[in-house]
Amino acid sequence: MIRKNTETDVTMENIKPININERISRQVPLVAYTLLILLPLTLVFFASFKTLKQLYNDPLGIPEKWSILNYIRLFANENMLIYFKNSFFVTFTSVFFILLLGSMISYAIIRMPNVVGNILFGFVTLGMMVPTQVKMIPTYVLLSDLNLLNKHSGLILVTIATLIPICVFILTGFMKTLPKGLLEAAMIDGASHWQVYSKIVIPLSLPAIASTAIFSFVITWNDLLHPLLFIKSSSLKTLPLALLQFQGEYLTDYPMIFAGVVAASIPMIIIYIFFQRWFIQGMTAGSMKG
Amino acid sequence: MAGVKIENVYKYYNKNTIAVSDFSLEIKDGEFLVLVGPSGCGKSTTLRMVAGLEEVTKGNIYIGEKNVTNMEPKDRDIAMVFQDYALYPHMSVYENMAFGLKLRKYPKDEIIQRVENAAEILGITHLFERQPRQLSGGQRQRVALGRAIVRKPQVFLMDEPLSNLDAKLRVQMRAELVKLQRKLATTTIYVTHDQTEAMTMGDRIVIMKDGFMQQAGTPEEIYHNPINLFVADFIGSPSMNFVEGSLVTEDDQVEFETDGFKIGFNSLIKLGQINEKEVILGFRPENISLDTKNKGSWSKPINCQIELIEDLGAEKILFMKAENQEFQVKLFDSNFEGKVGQSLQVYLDLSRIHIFSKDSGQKIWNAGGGR
Repeated sequence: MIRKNTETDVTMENIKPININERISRQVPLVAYTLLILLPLTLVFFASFKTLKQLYNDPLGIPEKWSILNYIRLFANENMLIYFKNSFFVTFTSVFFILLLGSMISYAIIRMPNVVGNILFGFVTLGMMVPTQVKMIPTYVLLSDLNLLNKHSGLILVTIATLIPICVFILTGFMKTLPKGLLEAAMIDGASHWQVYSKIVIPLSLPAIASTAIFSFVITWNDLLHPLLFIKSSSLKTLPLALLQFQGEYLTDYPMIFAGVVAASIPMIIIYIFFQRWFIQGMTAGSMKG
Repeated sequence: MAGVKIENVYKYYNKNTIAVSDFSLEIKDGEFLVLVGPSGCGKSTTLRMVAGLEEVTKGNIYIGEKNVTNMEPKDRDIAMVFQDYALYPHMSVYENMAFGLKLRKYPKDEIIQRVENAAEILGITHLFERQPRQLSGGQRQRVALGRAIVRKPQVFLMDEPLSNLDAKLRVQMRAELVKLQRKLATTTIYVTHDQTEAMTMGDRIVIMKDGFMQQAGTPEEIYHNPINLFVADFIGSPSMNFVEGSLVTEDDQVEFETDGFKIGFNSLIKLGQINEKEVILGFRPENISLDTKNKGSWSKPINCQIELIEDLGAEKILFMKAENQEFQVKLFDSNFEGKVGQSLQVYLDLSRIHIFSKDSGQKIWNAGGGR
């Protein structure tokens, strides 16, 4: 006898159109969040084309004249290129070492016996729980003792130490999802730990590494606190610190600051667009596999 | 090529978890040895200890003359094929196969030659440029084998390499693997939970349970002369029939008596030959016949009833019941026209029976091997 399964029959009538209320309740929070992010950015972008007077008269409006005078003034300051260079140097060096050391630690954690690996993982990621403000003074004293104050090397060292925990957290989570058999196959094929790490684990972890790279890049590039604490010489300043120059005691040149902010965010936007695909893959990795 | 010697090897994960206990075995050069047993019996752990992927708690492992117990896997000169193939997903088929040779810094010409030779043997030359995700299960299996054979190792280790293939492909690959092993004559240790694979592939089989080796021998020895109830039950499909009963003496003859029937041993078992009274009688489904025309030492008829018939085409499996005793009969007669519920008389081939101790489960007597 052929049983007619009426319950699971799919016909045009029983495919429900998506309820309009459901659609609104789904879209509204997304639109609200997007506006929350986009509005200030748009205001900053508009303000960077205004004069100070225009900004005070009409802080929220579209610029009357799209003048690039602020950008010209910004780059007319010959130090600005040095600040860019400093930021690039500090950021790229820090991110390079964060990824190199972080991925090595993560590899070590996944290859160690469970208990030892978990202890090391807990120890390293404990660093995420300590706010920078709490360790400002001890770090300052330490760098002073090491004669690393007012040096890029000191700033880079502190940045690496601050960001390694989060890097290890993300990368270990990802590497744990790699099939153990792959690493064992490589060991049997004749690979040393270094070769397993560099030829198997790193290429397969690229999505997670890309997202960690972007994450670390944004934090380091935007970092104001550490340069403010450790860098004194004008020639060593990074961009966020340099932009503070436009903030006076009595008068702040907001259009210049905003022009600086827009210019400073361009490298981040480029890098984000470039790595976007991997970034999303990295953030969702591990969620699908057991 | 080299043999492998495993000497009193133990593997403890902690005090209460014993994975392998007192495992000793000598595998001859060029031999195809199969480790078989149910899940958790320690067969994969044993293989992984030979590979160097698990530490040995106690004991020694030798490959050839070399004690490799504490050696890194890369220094043991072995190749392993994993259950899930473990192909490197970011490398092409060629790169996968050449990876081990590159790491060992072979000259480029030799790498090309070896990879091409191996690929030719396995018929995968046309797949060189493909990534593992673009291959079917069977092709992946071949690439994994290729990666193992290019290295020309002393020993092949295979951890259930066919279990991810569908039934038909598994049978085909089984035969190919055996042919390949014969051709290369490389010592091979093969782990499986499938007794058919073990029986058809191995020169010798080792049956394991709960970390202990139960029996080692040729497929024939294990099938016809199982050492205990576990081995007798595990090997063979359908598995051996077991009937609990007692040995009694009547008119100076030893007889087996159970709920449904009584079997005289026709002087096969002499008085006093077996001391235990409560025993388990074991007989394979193909050692029962509906008549006594064929050669054999047939018992008196046993009255029983057909409960179910499984028709496999070339053979039929009859599920029989004699009073409270149930057993299976394998018939190779495709013309058999019995029906469910029909009463029959069957005869047991006394020259093929086994008697096991009810207490220990150990074999105490079998017709082929005596006591």
